[in-house]
Amino acid sequence: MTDKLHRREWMGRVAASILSASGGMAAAQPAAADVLLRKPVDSGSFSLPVIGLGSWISFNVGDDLQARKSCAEVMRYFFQAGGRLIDSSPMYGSSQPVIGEALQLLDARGQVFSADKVWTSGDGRAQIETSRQYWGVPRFDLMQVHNLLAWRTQLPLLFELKRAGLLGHVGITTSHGRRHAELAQLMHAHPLDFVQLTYNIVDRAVEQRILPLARERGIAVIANRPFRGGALMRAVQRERLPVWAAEAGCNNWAEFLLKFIVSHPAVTCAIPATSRVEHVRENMGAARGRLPDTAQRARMAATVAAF
Amino acid sequence: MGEWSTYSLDDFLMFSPQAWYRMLELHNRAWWPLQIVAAALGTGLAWAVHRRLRPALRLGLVLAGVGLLFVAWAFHWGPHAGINLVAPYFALAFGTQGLWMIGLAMLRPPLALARGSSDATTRLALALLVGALLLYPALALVWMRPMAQAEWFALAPDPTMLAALAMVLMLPGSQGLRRPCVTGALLAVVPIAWCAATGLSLWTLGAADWWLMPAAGCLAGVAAVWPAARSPVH
Repeated sequence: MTDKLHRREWMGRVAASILSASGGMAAAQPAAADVLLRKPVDSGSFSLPVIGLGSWISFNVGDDLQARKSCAEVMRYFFQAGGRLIDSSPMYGSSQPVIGEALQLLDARGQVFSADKVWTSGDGRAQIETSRQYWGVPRFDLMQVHNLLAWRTQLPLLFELKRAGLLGHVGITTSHGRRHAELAQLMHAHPLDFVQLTYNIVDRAVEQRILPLARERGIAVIANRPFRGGALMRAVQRERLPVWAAEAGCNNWAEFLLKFIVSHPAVTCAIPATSRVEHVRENMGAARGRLPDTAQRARMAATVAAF
Repeated sequence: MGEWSTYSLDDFLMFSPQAWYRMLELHNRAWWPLQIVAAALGTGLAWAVHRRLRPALRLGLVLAGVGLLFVAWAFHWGPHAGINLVAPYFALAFGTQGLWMIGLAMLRPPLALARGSSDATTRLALALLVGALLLYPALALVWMRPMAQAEWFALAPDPTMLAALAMVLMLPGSQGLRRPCVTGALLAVVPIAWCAATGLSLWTLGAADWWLMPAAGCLAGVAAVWPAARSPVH
């Protein structure tokens, strides 16, 4: 997707981009339920919907044609609901070719914000090219160093590719709360566009240092493991959704957990992974309506902590 | 060490239970009716071992070896590699074990079960063999999975490695090897390691039968090192 297209979309929906630009905890303001919530990226040169699509495990279905068709249906609904960012990695087995096949089937290469990773100590350029061919996109909108692997080699390569116009943006990733000190150092030392990290209603260590730093440095944040690999959803679904959740804009547990994440002013989007259309429908619900305010976020966290 | 302590088994599992069982189903469909051929050959082998026929050991080593080679190529190197980055290493392990077992069967003078070998270890080996060949496929029904996802000897890794372990367990009681216990111990490394690996993998997938292969591996290990088990049963 071109920056120009992003910009045009963003300008058209700027009234609905009620989030971070103003500063504080987002969105105590009411928002129309049918307006897609987006957050500005790259100093506001474009914006992204607050819900993206991960592909860890969920899209690793091998050569199973039936399962690949299901993944394509998930992506079809994701795009129909306004979704843009899809994230993958060479580490995710068959996820990359599954995504590429679905993009072709849905004729959606122009719609996707393609986010992938370089995950090798060896030839990063070759791996990125292989990934690009799997996706079938002219270039990646975002390329990230996966789990900081060989970042001393790969990060300069990514910046070089970006300068040459072969990549849109550069990022680094971590997960499960690992290596935050190193992550912070890299955020200080390099002009990163994105960081990807684990942030959810119970894994909140990044609130202390990493998220404020991202905000200060103007780095977009992608939150992975929003449901802790499904464990959080399984835990909360045993309980009844609090009545007051509706006041925070949450109609189900998926929205409850996701809106907690994306209502943090430093978080650009969350990337829940699923292979089921009914789940992506629920997840995309978190990209519409109001977002919880600071007090509501505290209540949400306390509620889940009490389970 | 600090960072490694933050990892759990879940972090290394890169596919869902649905993807795993669908892969078994599609694999079965792709090779049908090889399951029937493998089961028939396996039944014949179990009968030959039960009757202590002289060629039974060599036949079993070849059959298990070919099964391992086939699983290495058609399963681990094939569909499994599509969803699991370490599957090619499993293919290497299965292939090496298979070649080693076939090579052993080619030795001169030929290996043979000792006449009247009826110690507890050989009986356990026979039980594991029957389990791998005939009972393992039926476990799909026990665990409420469709028969299309059943695991067959020579097609799926677990029953094939279990049959290989059974044949290895017979080596110490065989004739024709200079150091049968040492050979048996060396050949048991990959099967027992697989029993542990597949058990952990299935446990992480939440499979009810995750304990089966580790239990078989432990049983075989204990039987192989327990001297009393080598005494003939009267």
